[in-house]
Amino acid sequence: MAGNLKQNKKSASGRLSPGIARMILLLLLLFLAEFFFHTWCGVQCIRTGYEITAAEKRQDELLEMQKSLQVELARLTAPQALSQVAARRFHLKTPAPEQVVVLP
Amino acid sequence: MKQTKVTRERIRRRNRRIMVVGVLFTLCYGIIGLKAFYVQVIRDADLSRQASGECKKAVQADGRRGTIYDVNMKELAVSMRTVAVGAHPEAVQAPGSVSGKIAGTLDLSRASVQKRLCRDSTFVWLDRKVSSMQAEKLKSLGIAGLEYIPGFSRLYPNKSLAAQVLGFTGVEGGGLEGLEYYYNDYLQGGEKRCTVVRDAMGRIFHREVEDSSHEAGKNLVLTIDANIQYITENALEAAVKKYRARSGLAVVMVPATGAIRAIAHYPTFNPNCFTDYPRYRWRNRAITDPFEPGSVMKLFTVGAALESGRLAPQTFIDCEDGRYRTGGHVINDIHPHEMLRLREVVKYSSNIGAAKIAERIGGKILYKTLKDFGFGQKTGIDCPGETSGRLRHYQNWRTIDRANIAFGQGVSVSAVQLVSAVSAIANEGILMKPRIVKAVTNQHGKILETREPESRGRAVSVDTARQLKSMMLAATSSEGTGSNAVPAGYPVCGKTGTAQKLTEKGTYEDCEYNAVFVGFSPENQPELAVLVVVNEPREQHFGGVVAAPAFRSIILEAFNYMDVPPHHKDRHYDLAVKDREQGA
Repeated sequence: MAGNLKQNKKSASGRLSPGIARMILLLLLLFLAEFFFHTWCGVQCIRTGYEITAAEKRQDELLEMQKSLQVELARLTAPQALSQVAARRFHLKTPAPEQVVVLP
Repeated sequence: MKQTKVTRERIRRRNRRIMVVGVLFTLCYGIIGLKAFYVQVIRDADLSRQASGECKKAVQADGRRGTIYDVNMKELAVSMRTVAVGAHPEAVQAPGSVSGKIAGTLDLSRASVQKRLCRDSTFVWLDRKVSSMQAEKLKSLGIAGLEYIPGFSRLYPNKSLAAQVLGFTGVEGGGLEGLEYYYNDYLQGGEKRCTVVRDAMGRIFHREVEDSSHEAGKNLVLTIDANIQYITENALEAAVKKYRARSGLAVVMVPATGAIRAIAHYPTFNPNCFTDYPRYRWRNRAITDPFEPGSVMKLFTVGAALESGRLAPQTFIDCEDGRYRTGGHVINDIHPHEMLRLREVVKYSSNIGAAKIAERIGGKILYKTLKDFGFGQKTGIDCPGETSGRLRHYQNWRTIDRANIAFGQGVSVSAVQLVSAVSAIANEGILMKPRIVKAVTNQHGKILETREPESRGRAVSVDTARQLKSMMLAATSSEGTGSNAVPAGYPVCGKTGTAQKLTEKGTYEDCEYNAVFVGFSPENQPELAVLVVVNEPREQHFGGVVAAPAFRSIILEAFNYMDVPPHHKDRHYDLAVKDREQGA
C-alpha cells in the first residue's frame, strides 16, 4: 500500500500539468509557424529578386526599343527623306516668293 | 524473490546501456553544438564573406555615349546597344559548316567568316556591330567557341548630313573627328558599376547599382538646324556639279548671335561607314582650311577707309582705265574704269580701286581694321583644328603686298572667319563669336550648361557698318557683280569674289580659281549670313556666276522654311511677278 502510494506520487510529480503542456505545444506551434514564415519570406525575397531582374531586363529592352524607334523616326523625318517624299509622291516644291501670301 | 533479483539486474543493465547511449548522444550533440557555435559565432563573418563571394560578382560596363541633337532636338548622332561577336577558332567545331549559319545570321559573306574561323589565332572578331536580335538568334544556334561582348555603336540617322561637323567615333567608342572628338569628354559615358547576386544555376536574382549618375554621357544640343543644313548641302551640291568643280563649302550663320545654322561640304561622306571614304573628306574644311578670299576682301579695305575718316563713300578714286603699275607689278581690272567713287569700288569690284584705297590709308590702318574683323586670329569656334588664317604684320608688307591684300590676295582666311566678319557688318559693327553648341544636357534632358552669344568686340562703328551695308546692297543690284544672288522679295547685301588659287610653286595660275559669294539678307534685319565657296569650277569661275546662285537658292529655301515673309516692294519681286504673269 505504501509502495503504491510512493509510485503514484512519483508519476504525479513526473507528469506535466495540462496547462503547461498546452503552453509548450503552443510555443512549438508558434516556433514552427515562425520557421515556415521565415522560409516563405526567404523564398518570396528570392522570387521577387528574379521578378525585379526580369523587369529590369524588360525595361532595358523597352528602352532600347524606344531608342531604336527614335532613330527610325529621325531617319524617316530626315530632311532628305521628307523632301524626296514631298517631291516624288506629292509633287511639292518650294513656293516662289511671289506665290507667298502674307496674312495680316 | 529470485525472479525479482533477476529482473532488477536486467533493469540495472538496461539503465546502464541507456546511460552509455545517452552519454554517447550527449557527446555527439555536444560536438555538433560546439562545431555549430564555432561556425555560426566564431567564424560567422569570415564564412559569410566566403559564401557571398561565390554568388556575388561586381560587374563593370561602359555607359551609353550622349546624343547629339540639332537646334530642334532632332537626333543627329545616337548610340545604340549592340553586341560584338568574336570567336575562338580552335574551339569552333567544323568551321566549314558553321560559317554558313553565322554568315546567314550576321549578313556577312560565308567566305569571309570561314576565312576568319580558319585563322591561326586565339581570337578573331566576326562582327563588332551586331544588333541584340541578331545576337540572340546566333546564340540560339548553340555554336561553341563564339563570344558575345555587349557594348554600344554610334549611328548617324541622317547619314551624310553635317558629317564633317559631327565627325565620328572609332570602334572603341571614342570620338575621332569633328564634334565627336572635340566634345569627347562630355559625350563619353562613364563606367556603370553594379553588384549582381546569382543563384546556383547562375541566374541573377539581385542587382545593386552603385552609382548611376555618371553612367551615360552628356547630350549636346547644336545651333545647327538640320533643315537649313540640308538646304545648304543641296544648293552647294548643285553648284559644284553644274560647274564641275573640285569641291565646295558653305556656311550659314545668324549674324546677331553668331549661331552657326549650317556648315556644308561637297563632296561629303557617310560617318556610319567613314572608312569607305578618303580621309580628306572627313575634315571640316570650313574651319581647318585657309583660302585666299579674293575680291570679298575689298569690303574690309573700304571699311578701313571709312573707319579712318580719310575717305568718304563719295570720294573719287582713279582706276587708271583698268591697268595700274605699283611696287614693280601691274594690277589689272577685268572691267576697266576711269574714275569710281569709293562705294562703286565695291559695286564694280575694282582691284585697282582697292589698291589705291590701301595706298591712301596706309598699311597700318588696313591691318588694324582687318584684325578688328577677326582676320589672322582664331574665332574660337568650338570645333577642332581651327586655322587662324594668314595675315602678316603690316611692317612686313611690301608695296605690292599691301595692294594685293586690299583685294584679297596674299592673305588667307577660313570660311568661318569670313562669314563672321561679314556678319559683323550685318550686326551694326559688332563681331560675334561663332558657336556651334547651344547647350549641354544630361541623360534625362536637364540643361547643365548653355552657351550664350558672345561678342568679340566692335569691328567698325555703326555708321561705317551701315555705309558698308548700303555698298553691299548696291553690289547685288542689276549693275553690280552679285545680281545673281538676289531672290525675288528678299533684298541681299553681298559681295562676290573670284580668287586665283596659289599653286605649290607660289604663283597664281589663270586656270584655278575659288568662286566666292558672301552676304546676308534681309537688308534691314539680317536673319542669315551665308558664305558659298566653290573650289576650281570648270565652266565658269566668277563668284557672281558660280557661287551667287547657290547663295540665292539657300536664302530662298531657308527663308521659306523659317517663315521670313518676302518683301513685296522689292524690285526683283515686281519683276518676278511680271515674268510670271507674262508666262501665264
